[in-house]
Amino acid sequence: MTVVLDLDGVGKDFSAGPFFARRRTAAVTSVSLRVHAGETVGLVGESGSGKSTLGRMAIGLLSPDRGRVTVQGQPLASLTPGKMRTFRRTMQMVFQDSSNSLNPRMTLEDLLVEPFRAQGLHTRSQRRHRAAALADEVGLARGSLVRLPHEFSGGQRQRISIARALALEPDLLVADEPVSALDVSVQAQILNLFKDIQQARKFAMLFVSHDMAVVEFISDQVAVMRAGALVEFGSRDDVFDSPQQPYTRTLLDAAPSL
Amino acid sequence: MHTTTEPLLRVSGLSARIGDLPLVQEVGFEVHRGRTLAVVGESGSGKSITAAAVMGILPPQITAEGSVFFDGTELLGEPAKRRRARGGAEIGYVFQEPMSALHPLLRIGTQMIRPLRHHLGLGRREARDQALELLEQVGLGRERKVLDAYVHELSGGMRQRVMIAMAISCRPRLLLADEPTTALDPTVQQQILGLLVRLREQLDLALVLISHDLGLVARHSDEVLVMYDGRVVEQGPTAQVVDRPEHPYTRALIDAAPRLGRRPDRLPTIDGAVLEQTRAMAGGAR
Repeated sequence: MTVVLDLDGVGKDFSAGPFFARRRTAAVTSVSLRVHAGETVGLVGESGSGKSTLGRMAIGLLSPDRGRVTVQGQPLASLTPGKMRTFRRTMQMVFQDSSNSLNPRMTLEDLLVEPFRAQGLHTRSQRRHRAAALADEVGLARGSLVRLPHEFSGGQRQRISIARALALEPDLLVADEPVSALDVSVQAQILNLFKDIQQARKFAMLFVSHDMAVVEFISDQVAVMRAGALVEFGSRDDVFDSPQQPYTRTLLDAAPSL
Repeated sequence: MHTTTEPLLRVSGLSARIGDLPLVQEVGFEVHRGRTLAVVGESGSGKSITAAAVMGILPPQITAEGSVFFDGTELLGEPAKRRRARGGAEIGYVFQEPMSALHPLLRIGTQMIRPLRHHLGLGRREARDQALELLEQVGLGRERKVLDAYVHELSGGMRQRVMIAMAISCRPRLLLADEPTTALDPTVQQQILGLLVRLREQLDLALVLISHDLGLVARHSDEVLVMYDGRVVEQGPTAQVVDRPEHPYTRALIDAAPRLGRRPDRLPTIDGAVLEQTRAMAGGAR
């Protein structure tokens, strides 16, 4: 299997505190992690563990203070801003709160056409054709192409975000808590959608979540983060059947279950 | 439910509407002192409207009918002034967002001391001592530091502990917690729910937990009420409802959540037929 995302000793510091006594704290100390094509790595940890910061560095939304991020063999740090713009096609992100990332004045069709327009791909009619196909793929009715974001439910808006992320056929998808704000019944549909689409398209996925049960469902490999460091990494079955770290065990015990 | 005494809170035939649109229909339940009732439902199920009706904080455009009988008094339709005196002193509330329920510009101490002086008539010194004692009760220790802090200086778990300390400060008999742990990390969630249940025992409270997560409240409640589309779908002892749900909607809700130790290829979703049936059954039976 080809390595799509290669994080090599990646770290990030943030400054905090009063202006004259500002201190730098490491949000991510030094993490090495690989994600292969067709594979989902679940990245789990509590708030403040640095999991979202790591996810953002993985697709170049944040630049690391240490280490190297390589996507499809291309080190992100060596890309010029212009090259970065074209390269973004390869890596996409889905966020937790999709309603904030959708322009409220654009129709579903505009929203799905936008990625192609941003990259200058295809003719006008081809773009519209592809937008309709994307709507089909994520389970949105074609009849709703003329509707605005506020006319969709939370689950449907998350489908729109997924469709937009998939439009440019990325090799890497980072999903940051994409189902945390959804009702249980909707969450089940969106998780199934992630699984179906990934099996069909074979991209590499880094799935960030605080929910152990969700991570167990979606992942092939599992990475556990605590206080900016990777504390455990292994196949899903290994991590969930015989966790090596007491911290992983604590997370498992705290997970709500029936 | 299994005690012979009168329930502390008895809600019956509670309906709420906005204009002609029904939001909650014919909801009924009882809570006894020393017991925990969980009210569970997805968004739009009417669980929060039900809670707001009990708390007496429904927005003015929503009208409620039916009965909310608390400790010998009918609360629904009680004059606003009397109702305000009751809120806090007899019924304590814990909300999901302590960040918006607590004042950002006042120190925690100032906010905790105010209701103690107002409802219990304590002096400044006594109220401060009492506040410290309450902080200790919710696991924050007898530290002046918390009293002198502002909300933004506390972590999410600490904020929710402060909210709980305030909710029990005037010795209520009923505690209503609306999604008290939703914004928190799982390990902190368990601590907060554990704390609520412990306080319920120590203070002999009746506790109502409102949540969208049946798995979360299952461990911490005695009875459960499952709501859908403004109606009660199923209610009973929690263990029984979770192990042997009678209603297909409850069953579907339990199955749709990913569960540790199970590794299905796909999650069962709640199909339209079950929802249709749920609407019809709830409408007909109650």
